[in-house]
Amino acid sequence: MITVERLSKVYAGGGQPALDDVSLTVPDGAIYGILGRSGAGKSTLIRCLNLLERPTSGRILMQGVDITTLNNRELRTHRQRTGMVFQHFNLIHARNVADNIAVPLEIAGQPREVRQKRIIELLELVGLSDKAQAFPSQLSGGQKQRVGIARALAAHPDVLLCDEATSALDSETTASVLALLMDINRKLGVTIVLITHQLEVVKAICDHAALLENGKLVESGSLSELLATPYSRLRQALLPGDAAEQAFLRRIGVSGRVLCEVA
Amino acid sequence: MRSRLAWEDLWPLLLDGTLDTLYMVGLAALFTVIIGLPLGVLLFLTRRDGVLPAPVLNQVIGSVVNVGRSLPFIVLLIALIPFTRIIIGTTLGSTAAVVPITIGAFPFFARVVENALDEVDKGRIEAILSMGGNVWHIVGKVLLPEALPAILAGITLTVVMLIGFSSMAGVIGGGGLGDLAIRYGYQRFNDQVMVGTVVILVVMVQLVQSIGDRLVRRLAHRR
Repeated sequence: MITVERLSKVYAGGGQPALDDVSLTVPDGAIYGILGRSGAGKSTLIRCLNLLERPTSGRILMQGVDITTLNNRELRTHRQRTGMVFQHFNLIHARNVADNIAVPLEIAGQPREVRQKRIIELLELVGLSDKAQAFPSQLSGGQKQRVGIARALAAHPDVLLCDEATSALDSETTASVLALLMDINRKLGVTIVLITHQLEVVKAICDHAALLENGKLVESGSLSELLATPYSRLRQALLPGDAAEQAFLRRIGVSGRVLCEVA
Repeated sequence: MRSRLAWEDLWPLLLDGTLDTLYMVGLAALFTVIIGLPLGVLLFLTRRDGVLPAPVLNQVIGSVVNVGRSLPFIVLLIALIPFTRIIIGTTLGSTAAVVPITIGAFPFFARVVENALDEVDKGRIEAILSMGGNVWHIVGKVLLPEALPAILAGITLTVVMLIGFSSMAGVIGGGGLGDLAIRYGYQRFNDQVMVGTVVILVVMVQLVQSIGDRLVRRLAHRR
C-alpha cells in the first residue's frame, strides 16, 4: 500500500506550489489513475513516488516505510523495486532491445544467466520476442513503450509508475499498451500508478482515480465509490450524460429532434 | 643560399620526421584522452543542475580549462619549458614536446567531451536513476555509450589539432615535421623538404579525418 500524506512541493523561485497538501492512498494491486490538465502537478506527484523529485513537506509511506527518510543506498534499493515507464520511453539507443531490458538487472547485480532468462520471459510478456536484437531507432512508438514496460518490470518491482505512458502514442497503440498494462496488473499483481490527461485511460483500465487541479487534490478513491457520488467531478467527467452529447450534436448541426425522427 | 639534397638524403629525413610526428601525436593523443575524458565527465556531472552538483569544484575545473584554452599554443609552448624540464629531464626532442602538446590539448578535449555529454537526452539519465542506478551506472551505461559517436568525432578533431601543435613544437626543438620545416625550409630555403613536409602533413590530416568519420558512421549506423 502506498500512502501519501500531506505532500507539498514548492519549486525554488517561489510562485504557486506544484503540489499543495496532497493526501491519497493506493491499495495493493490497484490500477490508480491520477488525472489532471498539464500543469496540475500530476507529473510532480508521480516523480515524488520514487523521489526523482524531493517533496518540500509531507510523507510517502510505501509498505509502511517513509521513503523520504531513506538514505542514498536505501533509496536506490527502493527504486529497484519501483519500475517507471516514461512518456518518451527513454531507452538507451546504443543498446538493442534485449540489452535495454537488461539494464535494471545489471544495476541489481544479477548474473548473466539470470538476466538472459528474465529477458526472454519479459520479451514474451510484452510480445516482442522477435525484436530482441533490434535497436530502439528501428521500433515504432508502441514497440518502444513495450520495451520501456519490459525494462520497468525486469527487476520484479511491486509498483509500476507510468508517467504519461501513452500520451505520445496514437489511439490504437494506446489501447494495446493499456491492455498490456492491465494484463500485467492481473498476471503479476503489480500495483500500477499512472498519470494522464486522457480520460479514456482512466475509463479503460483504472479501478481507482484521483483528480488533481492546480496542485490540489479535488477527489480520490475507488471508481465504484466515485461514480456513486452524485456531485463527483470525476463522475461528471467520465459520464458526461446528455448535456455533452447535445452540445456535440449541435456543433455538428444535427438537432436532437431530427435525430429522433430518423430513429 | 639554397641547399639541394640528394634523394637518398631527403628520403630518410622525411621518414624520420614523419615517424617523430606520429610518435608525438600518438602519445599526446593518448594522454589528452586519459586526462581530458574524466575531466569532461566531471565538468558535466558537477554542474549546478547536474547529477552530482558541486558548483565550486565545477568552477575550479572550468577555470583551469579556460586558462589552458585562452593561451595561444606558441606562448604555452615556451612558458612550459621549465615544467617540461622537471618532468622529462630535458626540453629537447620529441618526448619532451609531448608535455606542452598534451597540456595545450586536454582542456579543449575536456570541453568537447562536456558538450558531447550535454547532447545526451536527460530522460535517459533519469531512467537509470529510476532503476536505482548510481552515478557510475549513469556514466557507464548512458552517458559514455550514448555520446560515443560525438566523443569519437571530438577525438578526430583533437588529433588534427595535435598534428598542428606537434609541428609548432619544432620551434623549441621538438623534432618531427615542424622541426624539419623550420631547419630546412625556413633556415636553409630548402624547397624539397618544405614541399615534402607540407604534402605529408596534408595527407596525415586527411587520413585521420576519414578514419575518424568512418568510425563515427559505423557507430551511429545502428542506432
